[in-house]
Order: sequence, then structure tokens, then C-alpha cells
Amino acid sequence: MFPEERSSDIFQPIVGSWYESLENPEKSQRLVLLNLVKEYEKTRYGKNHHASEIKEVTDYRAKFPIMNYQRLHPYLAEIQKGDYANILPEPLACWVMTRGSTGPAKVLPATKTHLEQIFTCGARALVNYVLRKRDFKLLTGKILNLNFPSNVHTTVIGGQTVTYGYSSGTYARLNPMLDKVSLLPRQEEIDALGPGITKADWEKRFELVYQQAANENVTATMGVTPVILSFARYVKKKHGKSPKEFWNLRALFCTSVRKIQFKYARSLRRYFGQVPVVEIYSATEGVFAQQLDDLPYITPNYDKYFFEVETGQGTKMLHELKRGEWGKLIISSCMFPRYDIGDIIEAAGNNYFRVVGRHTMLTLLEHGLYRLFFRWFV
Amino acid sequence: MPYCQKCGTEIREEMAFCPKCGAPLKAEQPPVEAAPAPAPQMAEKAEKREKREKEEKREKTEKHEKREFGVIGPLVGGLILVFLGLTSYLQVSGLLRTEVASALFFIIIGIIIVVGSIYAALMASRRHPRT
Ligand SMILES: [Zn+2]
Repeated sequence: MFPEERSSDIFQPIVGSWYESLENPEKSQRLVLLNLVKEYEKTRYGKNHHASEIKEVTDYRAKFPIMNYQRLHPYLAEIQKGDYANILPEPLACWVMTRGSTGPAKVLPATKTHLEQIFTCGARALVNYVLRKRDFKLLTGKILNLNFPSNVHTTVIGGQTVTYGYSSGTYARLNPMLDKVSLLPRQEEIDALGPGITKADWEKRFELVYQQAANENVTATMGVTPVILSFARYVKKKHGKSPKEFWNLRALFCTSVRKIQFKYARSLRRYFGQVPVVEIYSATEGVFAQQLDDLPYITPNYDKYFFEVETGQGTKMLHELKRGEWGKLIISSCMFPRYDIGDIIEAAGNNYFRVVGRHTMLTLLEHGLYRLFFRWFV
Repeated sequence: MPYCQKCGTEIREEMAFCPKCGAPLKAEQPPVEAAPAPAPQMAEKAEKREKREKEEKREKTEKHEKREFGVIGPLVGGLILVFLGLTSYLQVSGLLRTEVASALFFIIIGIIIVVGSIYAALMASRRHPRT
């Protein structure tokens, strides 16, 4: 499907600027910030916060407060009425929603630039993996699509009825990069089974995936990590065999949750065999980082997002963190400035990081004790 | 419109979407545009509140750490790690729901700390017997 000798032409646009940004994160982040600020100038929120006067990172921190999903609500209400320019630099392309297994539902707008970034960065883990391992065979097989449905609710914006659904499915459905590989089943087929997320709904979806894939050459999975795991358990329970007995998978591309390497990888391998688990740090708000090599860490997309971390010693740039430093991750994207994504991130040196978990008392306590404990021995 | 029509969850006025099911909530009130200033102010206030909360949180964590810094620090840490490993294993293997796990977590942590400090107190009084 992808002739090996032409691979760099096809893949360069996807991973090229990422690789470049890793050479000099500081330079790349400065550039990203200046470009972002130019976009924020177009919004009323940006004007109110004097985006046009920003020349340095320190100006930016002084003028823009940190925001989160709660504080975004009044602005979302206005976007829903058709007034996007209050906070978004460009028109709304679609709505996307998310529902963690425990957290509340979040509905967020998506702009064209945001979607383009999601598609590019969403393909990075796969492309990087194929290039690094020279494993072009991975692209000749089918890739299991294990995402949420993309049609759940409808809403009226500017007199038009718009359908929206879970971000993972929406991004999979719209992603032109994924047209080049053979997703199985296609997102439209998943959507056709309806929007429910009860156990019965999932079993219907899993059966569809299984029926389509049973006799195919499946080389990878791509999707929401707990869904991949549940699918494997379903196949084992209903059809008596683990996925590793049906397919010879080459890699698992796992998104949407924290602690993929530390919590899910082992269970996944029990069902899928000894295959590499490739972590993608993504949320409805963006695809922020992905695994660069065999080490169980993620490497940020410095060329697309602007990353800050609130640590015990004040706010720092993500790339400034030394090994062992950690804090609350603040991300500026083409849609929102200084958005608190609600995750705790820890540096592992160089461009390697680990998302410790959600920003909750439990995680803070757990991580604090973990560090306390290891200070005694390491 | 204080409740979501889809799932019945209670909702606040400024919400555009139901926090439980994500269904759109039609805003019937006049737009907030009329008063452009309050939003950033509100954000600032919320920020201040958060700062205060964070400071309180940091203080608490510090106190917590000081208490743990005895001989039993590593012991308690180790026990908690073992327990954490166990709960996350149970969670992953689907034997334990997350809410149950965190509730359990706090209870067990509490027990570990209480037992730990009683033990430490006992050891201390044994080393310095009152005459
Ligand atoms: Zn609802």
C-alpha cells in the first residue's frame, strides 16, 4: 500500500515538524506561542486580555488567566447561539463530546485547525512506529477501529441541526489520514449501531468488529484503551479464544486514558500476545503527545501546542522540567489559551514524560507518597 | 430550565450542555454579551479561590509529609504502594469499580496510618519507659 521508497514523501508532513521541534523545544514553543497569540487576538476573549501586547512568555502568563472546562461554559453557551468569535479564532466546525467512565460528560467545540491538528497528531504514533521499525507490513493489513460512536445528540446552531457524538469516533470518522489505512469496521458502521454505551450496546459493537475481522489479516488496533481491552475480553468470553489466537498483531495504538503503559499494557498483552503497546496521550481537547520509541514515555507535540506546568515552585514550561519534576499540565491550543486539562505530568528527562493521572486529591496523595517513598531508596 | 430533559440531571443556568449526558441545553436567557466585563472578573475570582485552595492543599500535604517522616515513613509508603498496586490490578481486571476502589483506598490508608502511629507510639514509649 505504501511503497517503502516513497515513504518519506508521504510521512514527512505528519512527523517532520514534530521531529524538528524535538531538536529544540524552546525555539519551537516560542514560535508556537507567538502564532497562537496572533490567533487569540481575533477573539473578544483575547482582546479583553490584551493579546496584541504579548511579546514574551512572561507577558502571556501575566495577561491570560488559567481556564478550565467549568469556566468555559458561558462561552460555550454563546458559541451555541452562533457567536463563535467570543472565544474561538475561527468558525465552529463541529461539536464533540466525551464521557470518561467516571467523569462527567464534556462537550467541546472543534474548529478546522483543531481537527487538522488532531488528524496529523493522531497519525503520528502510527507513522513514527512504522518508520522507526521499518514495519511497512503493518500498513498492509486491517486496523481494528475500537472507538465510541460519533452520533449521539443533536443541537441547533444558527438554525441548522447538527449531530455530534464522542470525540474518539468523530475524529476517526473525519480523519482523512485513516482513509489510507484500512480501518475495520469503518466509523459509519459503528455509528449505525446507535449511540448507546451500555454493556449490551458495546457487545453489539464488539460482535460487529469480530465478525468483520475474524478471517482478515489484522495487524493493529487503534482506539480508546479500555475499549480495546473490553473487546479482547468479549472475544475471549463469547468466542472462546483470545485475540492472539485469531490474529498476529504487530502493535496496539492506545488512546484516551492515563497510565496506559503502567496500568493497561500487561492486561492488553495477556489477550493480544507480546506486542508493542504504543501510547497516545489524547483527549477531546487534542492529541498532545505520543510514544517516540520503546521507552514507556510520551513525547509532546511541541510544534502544535504550547505546554506549561504548574509545579510546587511556580509555573514552568514543560520542556524546562528536570527529571522527577511534576505538576499540573496547562495547554494552549488553537482554540483555548491556558487550558487546565486536569492531568498531572512528570518529567523523565530529555523529551520524555509520563502522565501520572487526573488532577485529584487521590492522584496527588498517591504521587506524593510514591515520591516520598522513593526518595528513601533511590 | 433547571433539569436536563434527556436524563433529568440538575443543571446550572450558564451551562450549554448537560454535564451528565452531554445533551444540549437551549439557553432561553438573554445572551451574556450585554455585560462583557464580568466573565474575566469571574475568572479572576475563581482563580483567587483556586489559589487559596491550592495553598491550603499544599499546607495539608506538607503537614502530612512531616508526620510520615519518621521511621515508619518507608513502611507506610510501602504498604500504600502494595495496596495501590492491588487496587489498580483489581480495577484493570474489572473486579473492582473505580468509585469503590477510591473509597476503599481512603479507608485502608486511614487504617495504615492509624496502626502505624499507634505502633510508633508504642515503640517510643518502650524505648523511653516512664518511671
Ligand atoms: Zn442530561
